[in-house]
Amino acid sequence: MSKNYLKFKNNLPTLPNSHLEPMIELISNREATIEGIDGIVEYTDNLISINCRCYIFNLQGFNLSIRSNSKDSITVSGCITDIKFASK
Amino acid sequence: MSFMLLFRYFKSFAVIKVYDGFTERFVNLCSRERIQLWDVTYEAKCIKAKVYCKDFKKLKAIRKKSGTKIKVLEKHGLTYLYRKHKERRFLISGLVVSVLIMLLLNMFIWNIEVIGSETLSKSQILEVTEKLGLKTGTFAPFFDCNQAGREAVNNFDGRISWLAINTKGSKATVEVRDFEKKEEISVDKMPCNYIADFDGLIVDAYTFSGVQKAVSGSSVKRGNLLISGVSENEDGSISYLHSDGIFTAVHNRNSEKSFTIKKQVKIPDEINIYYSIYFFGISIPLDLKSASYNGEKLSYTCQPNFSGNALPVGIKKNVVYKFKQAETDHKALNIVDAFSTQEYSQLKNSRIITFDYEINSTRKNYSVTANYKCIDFIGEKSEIVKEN
Repeated sequence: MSKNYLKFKNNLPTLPNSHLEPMIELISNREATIEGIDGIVEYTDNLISINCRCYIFNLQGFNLSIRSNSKDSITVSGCITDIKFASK
Repeated sequence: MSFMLLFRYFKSFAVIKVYDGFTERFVNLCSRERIQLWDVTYEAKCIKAKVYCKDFKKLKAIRKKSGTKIKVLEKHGLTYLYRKHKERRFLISGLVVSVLIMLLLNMFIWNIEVIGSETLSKSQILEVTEKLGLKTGTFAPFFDCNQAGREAVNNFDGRISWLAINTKGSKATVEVRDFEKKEEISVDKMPCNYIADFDGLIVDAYTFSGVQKAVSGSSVKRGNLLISGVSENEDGSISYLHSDGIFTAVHNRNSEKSFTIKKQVKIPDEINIYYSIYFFGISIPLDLKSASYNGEKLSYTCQPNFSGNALPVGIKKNVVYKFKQAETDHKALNIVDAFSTQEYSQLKNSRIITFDYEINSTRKNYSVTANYKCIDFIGEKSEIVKEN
């Protein structure tokens, strides 16, 4: 891609994240997609803590891995045993 | 899924291990900088992830900010493959070029096989197909087999009834069917008698239509009636029939032929042999004087064979004959051979019971006298002449 196109793409105005409410999509207990995140707080084999602006979203389980992530979404796969919402 | 794997392989990616420092901050910074990480797993206090080769260069700044260390575990993709075999690039490109050349050469016709013809020789058929564009080295996609097959039939003066050209890879097969002349069945219904055309003793007599006059065992002379076409009805009226039947008779047959002692023959005066290399349809002579040799030329090509297909390379042996006229004597064996060939054409439908022959020679001629006792088909049709 040309430099000009990349510059244009990066400078496109985007909605501020505060207007986006986090959305969680669960597929059984195997996969979870969370949109509207700020970042990862903690990541271990049994726990992933995700910062969702208003609260912290904890996923507990085993063999947890991040399938893909972007600036404001993340897909976690593995065996999820517990979901918790914790205040900041 | 498999398309994604292929796409990632073409783009090239590396498996990295991120340890020490703040690994979560590392992941957050990557997502902020639009660096794609996938298959991120946590193992023994470190993170393993996959990252594209292009994005790997941007990880240096992120590594400093997050205080982590990065170790490359695996490298996958075409970029890394090229770097690994950079010194062998000419070998690889040579392999690719050779495969392309092989694919290109496979589109030409190097081997032509002719099957099916019994009256025409292979060289005669190939001569005609060459005029229509089929020869060693023809570019197969530009050659219309159906059109050439249809046009080729017209070039053989009715000697073939059907010709088809099929190409498979670099081999062309020319299938030919000879023209078979069918005997015309005469539907002659003119009233006629069946009479003997030579003297003999009747052996077998079969009458299909008419009134049989001669029986098996009776002797007949030339012109005698075998089957009559005139039939008398019960009411006294006469009907005229078309006589037909099969009669065989034993008879004696004599034959005398003479042959000249001297005969004109062509004998080779000068023979020149030279070899040439045959390479993809081109013949390169190894003898510089080959262009100066005049006369009739015969070529024999020796081509190596691979699973029934002749390869388009080989050695050609060319023999150039220059003939001169000379006079030589017939040998007795040749005389008998020539006599037998001539007699066979007349006696091929006869059954010979006994025969003997005698050869007499003079200063200028050989004469052969043969006496046969044989069984032949006897009878010919003779039109009935009605008297008004």
